[in-house]
Amino acid sequence: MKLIYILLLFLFTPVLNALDSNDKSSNQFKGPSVYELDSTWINQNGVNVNLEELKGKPYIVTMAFTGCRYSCPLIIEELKRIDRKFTAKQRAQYGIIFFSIDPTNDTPSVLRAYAKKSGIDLNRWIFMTSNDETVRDLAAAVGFKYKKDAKMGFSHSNLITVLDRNGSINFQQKAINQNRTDIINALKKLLAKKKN
Amino acid sequence: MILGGACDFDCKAANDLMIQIPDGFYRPLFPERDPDLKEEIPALPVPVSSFLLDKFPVTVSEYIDFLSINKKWRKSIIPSIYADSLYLNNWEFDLEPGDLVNKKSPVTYVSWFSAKAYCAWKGKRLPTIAEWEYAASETPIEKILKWYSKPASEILPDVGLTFKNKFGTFDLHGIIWEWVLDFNSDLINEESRNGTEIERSMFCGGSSAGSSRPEDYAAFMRLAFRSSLNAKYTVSNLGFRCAK
Repeated sequence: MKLIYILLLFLFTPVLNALDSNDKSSNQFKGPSVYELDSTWINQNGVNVNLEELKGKPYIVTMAFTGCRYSCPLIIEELKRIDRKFTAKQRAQYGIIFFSIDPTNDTPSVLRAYAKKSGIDLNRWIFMTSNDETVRDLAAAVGFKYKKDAKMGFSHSNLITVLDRNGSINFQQKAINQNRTDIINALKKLLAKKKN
Repeated sequence: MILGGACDFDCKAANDLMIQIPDGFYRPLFPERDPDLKEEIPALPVPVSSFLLDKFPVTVSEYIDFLSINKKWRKSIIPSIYADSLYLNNWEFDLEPGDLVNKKSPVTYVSWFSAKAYCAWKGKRLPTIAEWEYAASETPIEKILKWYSKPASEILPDVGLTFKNKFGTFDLHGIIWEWVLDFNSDLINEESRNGTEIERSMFCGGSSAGSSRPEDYAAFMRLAFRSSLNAKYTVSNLGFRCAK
């Protein structure tokens, strides 16, 4: 059955190429920024944060949920491994954000407790929660796929995104426990760039 | 009013009509995977609660009404996060599509964000995959595939000319493909095809293998198309209708 699916994907290759070309042919628009979304979240301290307020420094961001026992702890570990590849001076120049896709359960206090349990420095990491609509928009904007499963958890892609200072997607790592060189280099390049 | 099939009545008024879709079931193509047991849960039918669905896809004419009030979504100023550069590509001006666009046809070259905004403006929402697939499931697969295999005409026809299903909705197949709210919930993509341990590490509970309906090629094509989409993409034969 998978064979049929793969064949169908090949059938759709022209469609995919056509879709990609929409962006390549664009002269009309500047790079899209997630800060253009009207997107308000609540951080682990219960403070409202409009995404636009984050403008000014690069971020490594991921979307996940604290009730996830299998892949999400691995994502946290992945972020820590990436983070360790930078000097203290470099680390001061970017942040890391965990956007929860489970607003019902991931309240600010749950997020705070999760961060503490995971040994995370909340001076540099931000844990965010919001509502279903806001989650859906951000997920759609960064190309994150997710679905509530039968046990009221979520199936989701393991996506780690690097946002530049203006909130544009600079790089995306689509799996964990794989080669991290590209994402590290992408962030290093961003940090080396002078601020506009 | 619909007799004869042509949209020779007031399309705007007709498009405000919604059809009550009764309780029913959606049959997913793939099983889910239990994250704890690492076993697949058979693809059981998913109950769909009764809901309202637009009788027709949203037309160009209706979309002009939306743009006349909601300036942010006009093609000259829409933020680039919400739509790619082909947004309303076949339109000449912000509020005037020009002679090459049939105002009674479904609006296309719209993004997921813009479709969602239109429905919200109407006090509605986009249908989910389960709702859409259930509502559209009554059309014979052969008819759908025949349409899929035909190239789309440059100027789209009026709404109301193609298949009417048993619930009374038109054009779910036959003119355009349609956006759904959770288009990005199909986790069958390039990262999850192998069915290996690596695949299991990609998702928290998801991924799948072995379809429940290997004969439904049309549904596979829709799945593949949806999986290829990004929320800001706009395509010549992709439009939408709203639900409530």
